[in-house]
Amino acid sequence: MDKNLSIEQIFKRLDEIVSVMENDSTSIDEMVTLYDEGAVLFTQCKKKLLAAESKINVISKKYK
Amino acid sequence: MKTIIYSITQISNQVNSVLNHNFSNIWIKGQISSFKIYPSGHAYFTLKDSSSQIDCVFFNYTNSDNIFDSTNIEVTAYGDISIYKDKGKFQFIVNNLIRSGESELWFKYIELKNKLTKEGLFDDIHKRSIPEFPENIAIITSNSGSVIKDILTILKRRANYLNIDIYDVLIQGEQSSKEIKQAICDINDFKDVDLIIIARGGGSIEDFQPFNEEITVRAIYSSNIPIIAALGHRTDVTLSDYVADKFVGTPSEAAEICCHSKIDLMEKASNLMFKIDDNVFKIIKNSTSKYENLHLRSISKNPKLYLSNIDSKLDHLVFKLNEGIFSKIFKYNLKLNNLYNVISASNVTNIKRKGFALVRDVKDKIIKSIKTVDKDDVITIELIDGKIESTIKRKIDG
Repeated sequence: MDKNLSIEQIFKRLDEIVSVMENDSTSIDEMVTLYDEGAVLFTQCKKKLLAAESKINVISKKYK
Repeated sequence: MKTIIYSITQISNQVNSVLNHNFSNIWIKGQISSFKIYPSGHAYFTLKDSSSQIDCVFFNYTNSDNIFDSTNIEVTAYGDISIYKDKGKFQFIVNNLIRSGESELWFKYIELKNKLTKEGLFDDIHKRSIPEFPENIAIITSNSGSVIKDILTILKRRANYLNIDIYDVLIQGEQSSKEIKQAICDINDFKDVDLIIIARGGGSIEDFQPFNEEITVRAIYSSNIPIIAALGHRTDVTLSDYVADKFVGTPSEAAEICCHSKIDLMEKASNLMFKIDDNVFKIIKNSTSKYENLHLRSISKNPKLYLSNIDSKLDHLVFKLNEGIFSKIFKYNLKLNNLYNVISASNVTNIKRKGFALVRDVKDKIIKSIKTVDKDDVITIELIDGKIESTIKRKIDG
């Protein structure tokens, strides 16, 4: 799994996982795999948010 | 030719309709005099030049965006000519008042707005959708002043996961639109940015001129990256607002709405994870009950188990039967014992054992009262171990 997924990609994938899981035809094996993936994504998202610190660049010389 | 004779109302109505048809949405330039605001909020005044004057009314003036000290100033007024039927006078119904210095900018604004509207620049079809989870944001504004400080304060508090590039440009003056355009182009060409915010604080129509210039409007239109226009505290919408993918009233508002707060994101992620957990739990529960059902059904189909089930059913019946019989016998025994106790308690022998005696007359009848006997009668007293024969000496009332 790509560790550098953007927050948007993480949420998109989590949404997908939930909707596949909500489908009655999903097998237990698939469920287990999806659960694992969901748990990893969740942790990844949490870490990303907790560790975040805005990087602010000021680009000015060219314009003034 | 038939002569037409009008009533006053008829001619007033007809002239009014001619005026409305030909003199609606027009601009008139002149000097304001006799400016009066009534308690209703309407303003009445005259517009004049060196040789003529027109009565004007501005309905709901006090609620309009035009309030300024209006006496003796040159203005351009926008509105419709109509007849004031009560007096038979024509008047100018004003919707907008612009000071003369500003009017030129206004005309340019209207002209450019019409031109770009015709070209379709403001059509919704061209609006890019604002990303739900931007991570890299570019802000085009002046890096000095309170606007950028306000935006950064909010973004740092709400969403410190964002990477922010500030493009420090002039936000007023002739150079401004060129710098804004250059910044938009550079971001599109060189930067991996999800969203652009163009911001400036409040000001007059002149201050906002860069945002009403064609060069700025076209640059915003051409951007591939979605743009939020956040041009604050003004009464009129700029052309940049119209062309942007979204516009908000103040720069702070842009900072509030451009991204999810960190807390929201955490909660959203937790909710999704909860849903995932819940689904797993549900399927485990369903599978378990399915398995249990299958297990039970397989048991009922196995002949050996079926027979042994019958055996055990029989055993159970026999047990129940025995149990029933025994309990009945037990109950009868109990009853019998009780009866026996009652009977034995009332047994005369038992009473005698306690020292009581039975007294009989000569005819062997039990004497229950002294009234049935007399002095010198012979009586028999029965005790537990034998009898005493005696004669009554005296009767004493009890």
